[in-house]
Amino acid sequence: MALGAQVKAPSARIVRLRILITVCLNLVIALVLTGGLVWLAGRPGLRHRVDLTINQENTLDENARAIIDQLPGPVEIDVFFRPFGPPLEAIGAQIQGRMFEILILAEEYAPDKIKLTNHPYAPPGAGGAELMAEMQRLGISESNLFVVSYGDRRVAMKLLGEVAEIDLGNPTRRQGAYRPPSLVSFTGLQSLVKGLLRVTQGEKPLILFTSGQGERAIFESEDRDLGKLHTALVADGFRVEKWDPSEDGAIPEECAGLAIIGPEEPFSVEATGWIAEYVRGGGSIIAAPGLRLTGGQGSVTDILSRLGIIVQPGIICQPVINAAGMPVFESPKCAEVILRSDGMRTTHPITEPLRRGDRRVRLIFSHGLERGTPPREGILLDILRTTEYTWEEFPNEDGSFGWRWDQGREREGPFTVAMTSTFPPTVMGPVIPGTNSLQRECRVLALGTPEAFVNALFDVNRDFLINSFNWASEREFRVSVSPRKLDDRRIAVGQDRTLFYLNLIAIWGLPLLCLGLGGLAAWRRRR
Amino acid sequence: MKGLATIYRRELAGLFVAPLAWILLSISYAMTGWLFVTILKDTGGDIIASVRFSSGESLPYWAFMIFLPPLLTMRMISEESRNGLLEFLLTSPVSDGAVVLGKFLAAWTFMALFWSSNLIYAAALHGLGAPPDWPPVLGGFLGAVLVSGLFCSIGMLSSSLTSTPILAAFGAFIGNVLVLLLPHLAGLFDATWLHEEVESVDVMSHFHRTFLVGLLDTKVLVFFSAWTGFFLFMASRAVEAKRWR
Repeated sequence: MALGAQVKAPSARIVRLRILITVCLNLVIALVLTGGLVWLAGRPGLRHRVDLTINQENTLDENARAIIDQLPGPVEIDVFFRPFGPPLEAIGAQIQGRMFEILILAEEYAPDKIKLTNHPYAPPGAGGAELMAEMQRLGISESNLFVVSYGDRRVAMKLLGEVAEIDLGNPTRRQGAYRPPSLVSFTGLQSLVKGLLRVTQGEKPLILFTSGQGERAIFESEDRDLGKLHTALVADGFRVEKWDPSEDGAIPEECAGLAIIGPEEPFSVEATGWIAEYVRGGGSIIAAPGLRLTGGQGSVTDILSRLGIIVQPGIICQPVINAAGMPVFESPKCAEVILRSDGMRTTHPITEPLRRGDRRVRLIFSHGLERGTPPREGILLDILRTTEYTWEEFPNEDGSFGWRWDQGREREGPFTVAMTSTFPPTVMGPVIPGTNSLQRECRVLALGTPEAFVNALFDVNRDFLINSFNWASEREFRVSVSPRKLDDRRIAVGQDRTLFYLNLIAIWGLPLLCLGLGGLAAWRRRR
Repeated sequence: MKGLATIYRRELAGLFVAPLAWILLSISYAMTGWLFVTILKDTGGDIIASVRFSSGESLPYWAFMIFLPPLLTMRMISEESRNGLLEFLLTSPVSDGAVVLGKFLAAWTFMALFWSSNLIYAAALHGLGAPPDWPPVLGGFLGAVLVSGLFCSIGMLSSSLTSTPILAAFGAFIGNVLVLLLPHLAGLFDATWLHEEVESVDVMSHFHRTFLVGLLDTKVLVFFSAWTGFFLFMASRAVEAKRWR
């Protein structure tokens, strides 16, 4: 029998089956390769992102990234945004959009640390019941907030109030001209950072405000009190209490920072000793002398001079610029000094974020500060300096102020109005709960005026103050600043012939050019 | 790939020697131009909003994206298959991959030319003294070109599966719509794993989170390139299958 007759040709069915298997294999292999390639491209080591925007709008603040890096485990963020009712539809959508972008950025920066879940509105019968159950599980009953959860710890951050503040305007025209609601402040990144820290940090550092020597009241809401600062510090994760040396005795070991804001009387010898002992053990102080600059043992000037910071007697002034751009003197308003980013130290944790964010600090009736002799191995740094267009005002013989630069007896700027002094402790202090460091460092921040802390100026100085307390309590990793203002580029469409030219190019020019080329192509084809 | 350049040139010439492509471009430019100027007027001259609108933040943008590629690719393989021209091509010394890739590149070039209108608008604004933030504009253009590439490759696959151009266009259109609506379709099912899987292949969210906001992400670049490659590979397999018939 011939060999060829033994080899049977495969049937058509088998051939089709083979082709089918080949096609399926091709499909599966291609799918696996594609999926694998995309998966590989998403791995942290291989993935690269380049922010092309001029303001780096798609990049998280450096400090926020540091905080996310330090998260102990995966944090869940549940978003419950709903459309706002009139007249807040547009402004509400803007706030929601900006906040959601920040949350997405955070998740994309560290997908292993942050898990974002959006819960869009669902009507009853189409997932509404599940949504309500989820809200109940998270312990919330309203929307337009996001919930940050870490294990059993949970915190809800509301869009209005915590993330953004709005001015309702005058949308109904009841009080004059129409004015739409507008955004007063947006602190989305801070809110996220606060939420993350609140759920991941167990201990809250204790800040003590001295009292009993005529200091500003920390729980009051009058313009010259410190109620807003107190609220902001608590919201930022601090415990804030008063320390009256005559009642409370020595400063407790757990104190992460001692605030001495504008005492009008000196501390007692005993209290001065407790403060010195606290500093020797690695304690931190934020101090501002009272407006009536008292001297002598136990005064703020005395305490600061021992730490290397000399408070000058004069008031730092600058001319007021009127509407015509001309300098105006002989007004108490000259005692108001505004520090812009060029007057802030570039490399210090307190001022560096403010410089980047182009923030300002406003001081009233501030004394100048000068370098003295710091404690052993100490370092003094000027962190806020006025411009050269300032002078140090001294009272006249009758005690009144002239608010005009007297070249003969008054110095010209620039002046330092905020200074830090850091030095190693002489006695090993305890580990302070809620702070960033095991080996403490003595940190002192002096400001030339207590007015920088008061309710009336708090909104302007907020970032500077919060950064200061975080630095003093050695929680620099919390120092943050609002995201930059989004880029706003506009063209005056109602002026000149701008619109005409745009119409000419976009609506007429390009299409007619294409039509012309099409006609040319048709004509050439016919020939 | 041998013959790739020749096929690309032939297809490109086929597109631009005929007046149809120019008319299509003209109508599309007129519509996008009108939308751009209208948005610019409505937003009080907001350049970023207008550029974003014409670069992916609008329904017309996605309508062009899902309609144009099928119209361009519908005839590329299916009509040649019907006329018998494909057999000549396949018997010539060029690979199936070169045939598919050459035709795809021609369609892709047309789409790139179409989206370049955004660059022209941005240049016009620049010339009028209001320069836009150029890197995101260029990123938006790159994104538009990459998404068009994906949809053109779907069109190529559809065109290679049938001998009827209209059917190919319809198939590609349905494919494009499915790709865009996949997350919404997945939302109909109550399965978290499905939502997560679909989210990882969501074209719109990949585009919106990166190119549209001025972010260049290598993962997204690979995502669009890999899936375009996948559909082109399948198209070349489908062309190869025609040899067996």
